[in-house]
Amino acid sequence: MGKTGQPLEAAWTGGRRAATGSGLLFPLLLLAGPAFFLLLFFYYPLGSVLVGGLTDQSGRISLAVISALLRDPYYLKIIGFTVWQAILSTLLSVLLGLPGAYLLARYDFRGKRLIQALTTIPFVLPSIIVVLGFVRFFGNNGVLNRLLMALFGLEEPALKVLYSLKAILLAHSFYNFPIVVRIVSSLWRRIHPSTEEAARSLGAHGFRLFWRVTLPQILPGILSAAALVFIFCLLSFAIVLVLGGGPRYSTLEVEVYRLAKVSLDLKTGSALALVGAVISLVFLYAYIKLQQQSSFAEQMLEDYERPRLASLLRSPWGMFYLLYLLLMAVVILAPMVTVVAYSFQVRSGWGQQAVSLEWYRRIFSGGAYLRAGLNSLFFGTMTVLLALPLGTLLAYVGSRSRFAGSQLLEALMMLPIGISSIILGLGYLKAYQSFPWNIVGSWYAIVFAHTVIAYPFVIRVASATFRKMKPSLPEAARSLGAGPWQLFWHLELPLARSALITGAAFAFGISVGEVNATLMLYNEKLVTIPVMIYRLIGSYNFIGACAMGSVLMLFCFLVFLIIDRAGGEV
Amino acid sequence: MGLRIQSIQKVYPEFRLQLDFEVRQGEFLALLGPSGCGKTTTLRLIAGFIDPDSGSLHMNGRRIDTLPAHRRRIGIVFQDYSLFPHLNVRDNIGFGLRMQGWGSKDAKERIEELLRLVSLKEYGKRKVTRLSGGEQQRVALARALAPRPQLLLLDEPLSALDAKLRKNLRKEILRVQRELSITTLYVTHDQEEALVLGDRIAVMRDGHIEQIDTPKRIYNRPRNLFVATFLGQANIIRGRLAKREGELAVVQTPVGTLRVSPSQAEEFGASDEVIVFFRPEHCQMGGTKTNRINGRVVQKEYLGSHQLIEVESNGARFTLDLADRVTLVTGDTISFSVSPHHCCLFLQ
Amino acid sequence: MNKTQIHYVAAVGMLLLLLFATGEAIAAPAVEEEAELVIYAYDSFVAEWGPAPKVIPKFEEKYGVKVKVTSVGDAGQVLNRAILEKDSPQADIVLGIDNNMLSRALEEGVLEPYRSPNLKNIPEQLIFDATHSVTPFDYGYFAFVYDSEVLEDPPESLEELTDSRFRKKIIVQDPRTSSPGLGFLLWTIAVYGDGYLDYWSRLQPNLLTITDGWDTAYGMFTSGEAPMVLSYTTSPAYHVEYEQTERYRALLFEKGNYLQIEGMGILKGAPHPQAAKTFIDFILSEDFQGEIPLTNWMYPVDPEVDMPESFRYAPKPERSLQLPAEEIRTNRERWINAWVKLVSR
Repeated sequence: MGKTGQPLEAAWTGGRRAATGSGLLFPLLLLAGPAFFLLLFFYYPLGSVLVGGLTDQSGRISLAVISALLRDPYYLKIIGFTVWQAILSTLLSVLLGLPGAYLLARYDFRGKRLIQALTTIPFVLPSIIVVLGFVRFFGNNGVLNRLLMALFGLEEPALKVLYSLKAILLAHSFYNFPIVVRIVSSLWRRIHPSTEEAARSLGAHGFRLFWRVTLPQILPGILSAAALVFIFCLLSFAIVLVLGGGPRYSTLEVEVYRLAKVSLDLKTGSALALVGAVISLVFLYAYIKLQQQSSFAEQMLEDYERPRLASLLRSPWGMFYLLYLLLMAVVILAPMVTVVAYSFQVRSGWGQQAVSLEWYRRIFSGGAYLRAGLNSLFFGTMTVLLALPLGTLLAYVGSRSRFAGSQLLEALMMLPIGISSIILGLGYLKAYQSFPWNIVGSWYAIVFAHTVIAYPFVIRVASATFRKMKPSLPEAARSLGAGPWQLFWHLELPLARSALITGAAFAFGISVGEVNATLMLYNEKLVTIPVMIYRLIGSYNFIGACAMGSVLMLFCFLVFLIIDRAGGEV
Repeated sequence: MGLRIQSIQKVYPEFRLQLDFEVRQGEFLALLGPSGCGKTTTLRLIAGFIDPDSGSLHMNGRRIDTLPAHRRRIGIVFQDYSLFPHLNVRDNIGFGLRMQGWGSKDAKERIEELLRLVSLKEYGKRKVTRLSGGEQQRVALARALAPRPQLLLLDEPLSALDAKLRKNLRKEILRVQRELSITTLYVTHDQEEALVLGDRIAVMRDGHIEQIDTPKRIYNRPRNLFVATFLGQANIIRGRLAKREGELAVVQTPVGTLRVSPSQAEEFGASDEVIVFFRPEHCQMGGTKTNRINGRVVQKEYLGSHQLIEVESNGARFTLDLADRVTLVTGDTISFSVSPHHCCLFLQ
Repeated sequence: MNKTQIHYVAAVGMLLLLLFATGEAIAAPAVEEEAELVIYAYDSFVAEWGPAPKVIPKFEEKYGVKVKVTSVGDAGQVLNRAILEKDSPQADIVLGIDNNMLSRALEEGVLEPYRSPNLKNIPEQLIFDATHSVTPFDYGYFAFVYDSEVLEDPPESLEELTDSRFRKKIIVQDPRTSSPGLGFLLWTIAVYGDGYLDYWSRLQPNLLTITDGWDTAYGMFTSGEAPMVLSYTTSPAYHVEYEQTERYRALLFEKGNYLQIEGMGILKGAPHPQAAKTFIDFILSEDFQGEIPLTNWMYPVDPEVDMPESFRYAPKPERSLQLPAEEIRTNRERWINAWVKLVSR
């Protein structure tokens, strides 16, 4: 009975003039656990760090630090550049993502799942590996340049693309365009081709067809993907730090990193982090609103015949798509493949590099490396066990609430996306100093930190699914006697199964690849793979670092394969 | 007993919902009206998904508008069936039983019972996504009925099906309803369905009910022009009330003087502008001298067992429903009449 | 049970097994005995291939004191952690404070002075802290390391680095986040004085990139991104020792190379001051000093230690440069800000 386009009413709002106050009780109950957890393990540590930016020297609340920040030309330039490169990167990502979204939405081909899994890996890898791979592939002495120089007999590297703004934009777009592809294709897929067929019969074709008929329908998807990508690029850190080439191209996050790492100058650092958080919040809010819009469209069924990709590739336009696919494959896979390839070596005998499984032998024969691997598995699993219920409950309440400001609340719930993990780690250090028992240095501190970082991604996936649900299903369940809890447990949760599996995989991947906060919270017994990678790099062992990185990639790849196996999508 | 909708009001930007009627125990009431008239809203209100601004709802003597939706024990069949895609047929049907905490043995029996009721005996383990439209609808019905609801609501359940299927399922629904004697409210915009299924029909427009009556009376004695033209085909002609002759009202119309036997309680005053209405099938070729109308055939529609003849007379158009054996050709002059008892009178 | 149910049970079973196995591994040590000495050190010190696994057991055995070494990132972060915990120190010793960071450590007042009797074995010029809040344990020289297979005529001075033939061929680090980076900045100030900014503006075109840390820089160097990187004179020794190659060489400049001396100090308010003092004595002993070359790739402060063969490939500069701690303290902020401004243009 709910028409598409109408927001879904929750079992506890709309439609009962009940004597019981169960209207608000249920969501409050659901929120109690998550709220408690977040207050203690996110907002409190966060506040203890950010308070530095909101108080003046004597400790009173004041906007002095922030206003000084906003008047300092150096920081204004940083903020301006941050936004500017994020905008450019987002535009590029969208442009690159649209053809891919089209292919994914309209054609069938084998290995779709495989490709989805592969393209998501860079997203959760620790930045250092991503960057290493990029350098090894695109660098002056990278695979690509060496290939070109050999082919064309050049002296100097042909593609001098790294250590510049170009590199930043390129890296951003290539690592974010899979998000655009996923989000837009998810919506595009559900738009029945009949609208386009109708338009064609009326004379529209080609670009005009796209512009007037298709684009308006997929626009909410594009905009919501753009909002998300914008946030990621805004807060991007390692890519800017390494591929930007130095202080000239510095963004908010990089500055926060410097300030926090070097001088513990948490006043300016906090103020900067606050500015970043506010900007992210705005775009998170926009993203949530746009998500709602595109979710309504996605309530339609998507069953229709799709032609096979092979047929497209043989057509005249096919060349373009083939080139596109090749290009995307090369750029996404190449850095990862390079890292993996490099790991199968050992440096021996006068600087020669021989192919060898030496490092893998070392890793799997026990000792610190194996332990790091097991630790990462452990933390990943625990993070899933915590982040999944946390994120799901929050997503459920958020997507079903109808009170004014509920979307703002949802944006706030996803706040950790807008907070640098460095700040979080610092917060943990600062906030728990005075606690009676040692939180820092325990394994659960790491799990909590990972959970906080990962759960917004669970919210993202779960929320999208809850919104996509046809309103009549919960109504049917209610009419059959399902109270609010039963509705959640027996209907909404099972229906969200594939989304939950996706969320779990994301949480796992993020935990396993998390590095910044972990570096601040670990000790000898709690070394994880990313920490190990950092250490290996710090002592000339680049092969070893690549080997550990390959193991990490394998973990993530397997886990992501499970998502798509279980039929999950973004 | 049954469902009592008491002085329910709800204000919307498009219309104002004002309802006050009842569905008798065991009765099949068809709620009929054009799109946007508020019939689905009415249903949702009864189900408990919307709150009224004022008024109350009573089921079998007990007040239910104060109950949340999941405690009202009302079975609903939705337009798009809304079967739970992650459950098979058996689990869909048993969902309500699970919610109410039925033991597994009892539940199993009940589910079997219902499968038999809707003629889907072997379908228990099937996935609902693999069922045809008609089969899905039957599962939806079984599901709604399983927990023994006190009221059954159906929201245009057949509109997504093709004509033949619709006819068949219609019979099924009626059969099931009779067998269980369950109080039923059936929303539809299809007048044929309403006429076939309903013990009574409530015709709805802009948020309120125009007339609630048996199909026969609604059809033959519509209360106003809207009801008259909404159901079946209507012949109408405007005129002026000249005088009364005993029971009959004498109306001057462009096609002549017509005598009408009004059944409405209203007194019509002389010189009132009125509309005369009668059904095509009540027109007779030749017949009595009273209410004779002469005209010219302008169109003929052959319908197999009968034919529809469109006649033009002095600017007015009439449709006659005649048996096939009457041979007429476009352009023929024709003279027909209709009995005063088959005519209705409405104020303009 | 149907297929789905079996899958779920299997998954849950595997999960439980996994949790049990790894949880055992992690949770068990929680019942360890109380450590009697806690040290904060930088990552490469604590790593498997670093000094800690070699020297700590020796200390524990010799003195019967249980030691816990925690790595907290790089040297700068070690100091930060100490400052963060100023009011309730969790550690006894903080390891990794070098001559360039000394001023900050002293300013923050986190250290407790202790003059070890073993200092008499150490050359005067290496004792960089007169207050003895920080006791030196190793030293090294910053140097530009180059790839001899790519670069045929390496530069011989800071000035020559600015020559156009090295356009985009040099990798250096950011002084804000890296101690070699800071060291190099101070190096240029030691040589050019106030004209350092002018030097940097001439150097800039030759810089391929300025990285945040040494690891990234060196990684790029060994990947072949650029043939020259700022590192240590001892870097070549590593490659000789483990990779048997002399390809990477360190450059000694005319005016000298900048000196870095690393030290450790006892934290003010340390929980185990006595054990801490014993440890400071220990680091100046043969047991500790002897392990430094091949694990930390620096020179031990004790001149009596036998150096390994591979260190022949680590050139020792004739002249070493250093800026006085006081001067660093007063001007550091200003120098760095000016530098940032210059290179951000």
